[in-house]
Amino acid sequence: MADARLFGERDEFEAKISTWAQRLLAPYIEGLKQRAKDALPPDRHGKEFNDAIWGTIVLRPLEVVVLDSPLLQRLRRIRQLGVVHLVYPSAEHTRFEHSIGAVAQIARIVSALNERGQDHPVIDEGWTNLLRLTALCHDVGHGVMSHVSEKALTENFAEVETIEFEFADAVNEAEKPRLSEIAAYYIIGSPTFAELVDLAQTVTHDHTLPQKPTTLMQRAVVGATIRDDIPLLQETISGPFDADKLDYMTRDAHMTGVPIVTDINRLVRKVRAITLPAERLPEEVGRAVEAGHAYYVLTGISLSGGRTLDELMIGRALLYDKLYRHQKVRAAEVMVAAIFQQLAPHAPDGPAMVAYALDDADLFDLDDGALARLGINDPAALGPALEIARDLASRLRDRRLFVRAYAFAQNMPLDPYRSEVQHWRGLEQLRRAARSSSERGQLIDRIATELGIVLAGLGMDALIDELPGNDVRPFLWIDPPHAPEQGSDIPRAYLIGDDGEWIRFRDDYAETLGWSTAYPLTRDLGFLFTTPELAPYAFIATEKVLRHDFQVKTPKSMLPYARRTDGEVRPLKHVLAAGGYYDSSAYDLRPLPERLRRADVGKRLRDIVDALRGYEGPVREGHAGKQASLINEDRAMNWLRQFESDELTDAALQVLANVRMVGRRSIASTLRNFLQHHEDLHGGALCPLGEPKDSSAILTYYSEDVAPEFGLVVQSLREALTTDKPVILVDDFIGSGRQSISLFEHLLGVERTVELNEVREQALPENLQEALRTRSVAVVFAAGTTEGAQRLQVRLAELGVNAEVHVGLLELPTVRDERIFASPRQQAAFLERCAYVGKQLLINEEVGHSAKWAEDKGLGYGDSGYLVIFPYNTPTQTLTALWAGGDVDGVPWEPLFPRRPKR
Amino acid sequence: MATRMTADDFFTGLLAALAYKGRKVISIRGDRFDAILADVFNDLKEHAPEHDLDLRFRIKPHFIHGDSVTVRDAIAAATLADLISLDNPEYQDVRFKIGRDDAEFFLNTLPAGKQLYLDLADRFLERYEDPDSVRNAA
Repeated sequence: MADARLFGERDEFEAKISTWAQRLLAPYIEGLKQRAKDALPPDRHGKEFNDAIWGTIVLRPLEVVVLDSPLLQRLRRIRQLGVVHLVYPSAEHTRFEHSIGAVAQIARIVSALNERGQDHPVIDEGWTNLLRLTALCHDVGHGVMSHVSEKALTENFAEVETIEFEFADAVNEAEKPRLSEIAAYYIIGSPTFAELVDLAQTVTHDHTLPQKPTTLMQRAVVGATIRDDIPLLQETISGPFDADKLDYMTRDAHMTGVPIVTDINRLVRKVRAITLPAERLPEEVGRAVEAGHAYYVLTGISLSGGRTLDELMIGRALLYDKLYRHQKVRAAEVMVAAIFQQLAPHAPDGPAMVAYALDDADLFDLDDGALARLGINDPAALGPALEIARDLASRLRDRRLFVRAYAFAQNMPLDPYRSEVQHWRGLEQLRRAARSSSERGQLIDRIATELGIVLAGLGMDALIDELPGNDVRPFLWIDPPHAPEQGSDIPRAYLIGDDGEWIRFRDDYAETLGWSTAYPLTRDLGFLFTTPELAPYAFIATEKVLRHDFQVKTPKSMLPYARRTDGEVRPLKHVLAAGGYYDSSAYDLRPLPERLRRADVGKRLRDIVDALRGYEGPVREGHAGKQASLINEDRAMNWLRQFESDELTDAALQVLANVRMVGRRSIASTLRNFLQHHEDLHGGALCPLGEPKDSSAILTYYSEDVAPEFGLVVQSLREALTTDKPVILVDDFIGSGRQSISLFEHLLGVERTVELNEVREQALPENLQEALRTRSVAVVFAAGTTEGAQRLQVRLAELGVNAEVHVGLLELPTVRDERIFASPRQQAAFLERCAYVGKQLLINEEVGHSAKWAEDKGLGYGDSGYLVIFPYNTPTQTLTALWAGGDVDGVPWEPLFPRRPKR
Repeated sequence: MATRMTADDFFTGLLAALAYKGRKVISIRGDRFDAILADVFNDLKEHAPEHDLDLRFRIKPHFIHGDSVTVRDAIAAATLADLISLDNPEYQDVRFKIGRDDAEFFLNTLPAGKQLYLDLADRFLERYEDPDSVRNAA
């Protein structure tokens, strides 16, 4: 037996909703009892309804009695699509006509099942009537604004969410139930509803329903089996192609004017039923029903109708994207959630029941009468909460909706930071925080606090004073990106062939769920919504909070999605910057320096990026599929803006224009020129100076481009030394020469004169050490310094290696070249700044990099300030500010050409 | 106060743990994947009090069709979050888009701690790699 303590919230909800239904129906039931007592002649004709979608719909007398009850009549006051009418004005249709429409669809489905593929009808009159009545009542559990209220309550009130979990634990067929389904289950299962149906049967003299009809209806609304011999009969109410779906998709599309491709009429024509012995039932179906029937009826769609289900999926995806996720619909929905957030804590019956105390009109008004229906009899006691709720309600009523202030997604269009690990990880954390009600609340709190600072900094505090409660928090809301939920049950359908064989739709059309979900998936964004007055300030506040808390950077491509413009935001940022608002913030948050707004910058940046196209930089594991290059105009701009002053920014622009990338062609050219003058090395072995993990391995690969010309063969050094070939070792860069010296000392097993704490393979065996000393060796570098080459040459001679050291590119661009700068003064200022930045970035006491150690490396190791990069990495001799990241005086510094850390 | 774990946390953590263990691809064809996840979830639910966890989701494959709405929604959410991709042409193979470094980062920042998710991944793989693993009964 289930532990009663485990179902506290659910039990409480069941009791409350049942009591609510009972109170609602009591007068009507009394009237029916009187009618029964009076034994008036029953109505034999029912009613005809003119429906905008399906034409004439006829309801049977029993159905009319139920329809006339307050339980169903209240559905006239609940819009099918919640707040969508604020965007699509015609979307005023209600749950009421949808419920009637569902009856029409169930009738068509049942007719199709009875007519097609069978010798006899499989569903008799009584069961048909049961299904019709269930379709009519399937939405009795909806509250104000339909799904809007249940989403708002579930996502913001833990006790409501708990009702759903406890229901799922208690009811076998439920996994992720919605509040409306749970309410319908309990309402239909209540004694009051049973009495209603019983009296309806009595007054209409209609006793065609099966025994215990409300129990069967209750089971059907949660998808439980209702007939063992027709195991999927309940799916005509809640299933792959159920009456609900067939009506709402058609109705919603028609009433909003959104075209969808779903051909409902054709789909209904494809509905099938086959009669099977137990052993031919799908195993999973057979497992769910009792044995003992001679035959079972399997329901589905004809094999030739599979594509109609595809169309259903397409239609669903289109409606999801165009209607339910329309950004203005979402804005209005969060306003409803904001109202609930104010009122629900004060509702005596708890948050879940708020949805049933109010109807749509109440939510736009929130007068004392509405509050009284909520159980709030002393509105003044609510204090600011009431004022805020009424303000929000009036905004909804007058369509003064929230607007987008900030937009984000995991994959943002043209995101120049996509390759940056921190940014990517930060977006993932942001996404999860935005989806968690507790973390979302904390995030909103931080944004609200920051917004207060922004407004104060701009002298705009009055905007807060104008808000009810003098609090911005209720007027800020994060709505995260969402994948379409409820996984779609459409793929569960069975496809039935003319030969009576069946196959599951999802086995035959395995790809359908994937591609139909992919469409809305790739388009969905998260937003911060707020009032139009607060929006530009909220953008600034949110951008800063997300940068600081999540290391998320805001691509400028996202401004239009947030309906912000640079022209609107920049002046505000300048005022804030002047007041010190950004003093400890990352540079990419700050307003763009004046120098970088000049007309020449765009072309100059494009030229720089073009010249360095091909630079990829280190790729982090798992990020290979993301943006290929770290060099793009936005990142270059962000590096430049770190220099703040116009003079330094101008200098930095010049410096960037002089960065030289030594690529594949340079390396091939170096090797070719060298070998043309060294015939003694022809036919030799081309080897990397280093191990497979070093960049020399890439150089060797590039060098192979010229290998055929000189009869060279690429080998590892160990391999080459087992032959008598001359050896040409290649590497990309030689700075001081210390690294190369250290490598040779290690290979030859001698005591190191240079210790770089690098992890290396074992030294060469003695015979190979001897071999290295007794043959012709060349060491070729694509670029480097004369000093480094000479130092290596000398050390190799000391080690007994007969080697010639050659460097291809000796004239390296460097910040020490005054020709790069407009004036010596500018150069001096730039070097001073870079030296300071570089030193700050290199200090790391944990690895022994003290301030003293970093002192002469501020401009790069060797203090040379080279402006050289390779497509795959950057030498440490290059200007430190270009490749090192970290903090400078507490402010993050972003490198443009980050290095992969040595191991 | 118990540590809340949402479906997002569970799936992000499980996927991260699988990526951490070097897994590259997982098949979600049919309902076996859902059933295995249900088993893993039920194990977790059983031991939730020991870990002081408040599980804010359920995984219960459909009693007939065997697929789980929670699992399918989570796959869509994980795709939206760029943690995984679904291979063309049938979208039946989940390919991990995160490497070990990112996986470790997520494992260290999710509620309940890295080891819990690694244990979940072990239980998942134990069943996934056993062709005779029993489908969870509804």
